[in-house]
Amino acid sequence: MAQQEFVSLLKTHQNVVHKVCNLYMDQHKDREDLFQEITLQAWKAFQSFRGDAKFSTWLYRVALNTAITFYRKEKRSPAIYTTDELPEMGSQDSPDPIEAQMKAMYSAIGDLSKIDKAIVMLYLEDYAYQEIGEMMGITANNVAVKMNRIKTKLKEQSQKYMEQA
Amino acid sequence: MDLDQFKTELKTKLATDHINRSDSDIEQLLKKKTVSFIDKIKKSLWFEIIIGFILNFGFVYAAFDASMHSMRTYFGVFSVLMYLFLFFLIYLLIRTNKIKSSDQTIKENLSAYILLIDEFIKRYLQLTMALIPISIIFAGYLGYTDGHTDATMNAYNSGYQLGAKMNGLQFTIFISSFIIFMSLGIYGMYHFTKWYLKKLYGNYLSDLKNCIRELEN
Repeated sequence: MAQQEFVSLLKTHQNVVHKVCNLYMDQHKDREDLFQEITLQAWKAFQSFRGDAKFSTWLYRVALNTAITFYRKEKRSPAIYTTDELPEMGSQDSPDPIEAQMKAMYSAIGDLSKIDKAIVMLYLEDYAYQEIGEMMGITANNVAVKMNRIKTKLKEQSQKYMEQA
Repeated sequence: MDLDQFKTELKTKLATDHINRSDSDIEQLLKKKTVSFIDKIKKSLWFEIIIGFILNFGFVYAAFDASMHSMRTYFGVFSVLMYLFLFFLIYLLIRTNKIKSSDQTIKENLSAYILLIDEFIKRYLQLTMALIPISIIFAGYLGYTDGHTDATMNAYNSGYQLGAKMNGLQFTIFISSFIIFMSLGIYGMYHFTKWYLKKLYGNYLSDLKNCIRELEN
């Protein structure tokens, strides 16, 4: 029964896991491995899920914890988001400046550290600084400071990518 | 350009770049094996515990069955040491099982990983290093006090004759060379073990420590 409930909840909220996998891994095989690992870790931890928080919030916590501590046995190329790996975002020759800026921003996020990626992920999901702090284990003020730093970093980095393009 | 400008688009891109899994896909995933680092340590601990018990069985057997007193003492002492080592491995396994749940805060989870891996590396190194001088000193001492077979007596006699032929300087050089050789061996062993542990766990551990440092800054 618990397994059925878990499978049904995970199926409904699988977007959470996919988002984390896409953010932390740049290669398809790694994303698949991470998806599997998050699923298994979430299943192991499911007994402790009491429904105090929303399932999606709980799943974010498990998924981010797993992604940050994920161990890859085989060394692959470093996790850098190249614009070539985003086919759905339009062709390389696309003249659309908004799309080019999006690609640059996506690449800049790919360059962030594991911790900064987690904060950006939760920020994109519209979690309040207080909630982000609770998930990360730091204060809301600390989250605000980090978020400011990240925004500046992303602005500069995406600008560089734009100039290179 | 600002992150907020692209918030909605980025969220959509991250959420759409995948194929949806069905119930049966997820059920299949639940049957697979985990590849987390903690599970790697757990497997390694189980392997060492099993090997340790098998070796210890042999040690206890030799401690009772060996004909030479020195061999019985040697294996008897090592089976006691091996039991201490096994207790330590079991203690680590219990601690590893306690942190299997990954739904705590990211900082708590990272701290738990770091503490466990740090302790695993530290105790492993301490025990490995402690066994080397114990083995050398013990083997030398027991060999000296229990050299009663023809072969060992001959070896002692030839060694004794050789020692008797040496003058003070030669004997000093011989002893110094022996000490230097043993020290270099222990030094090499220490650094090799440290290098090996760093190779296995070091990079991963420093990655985790960087994450904690970053969270605290």
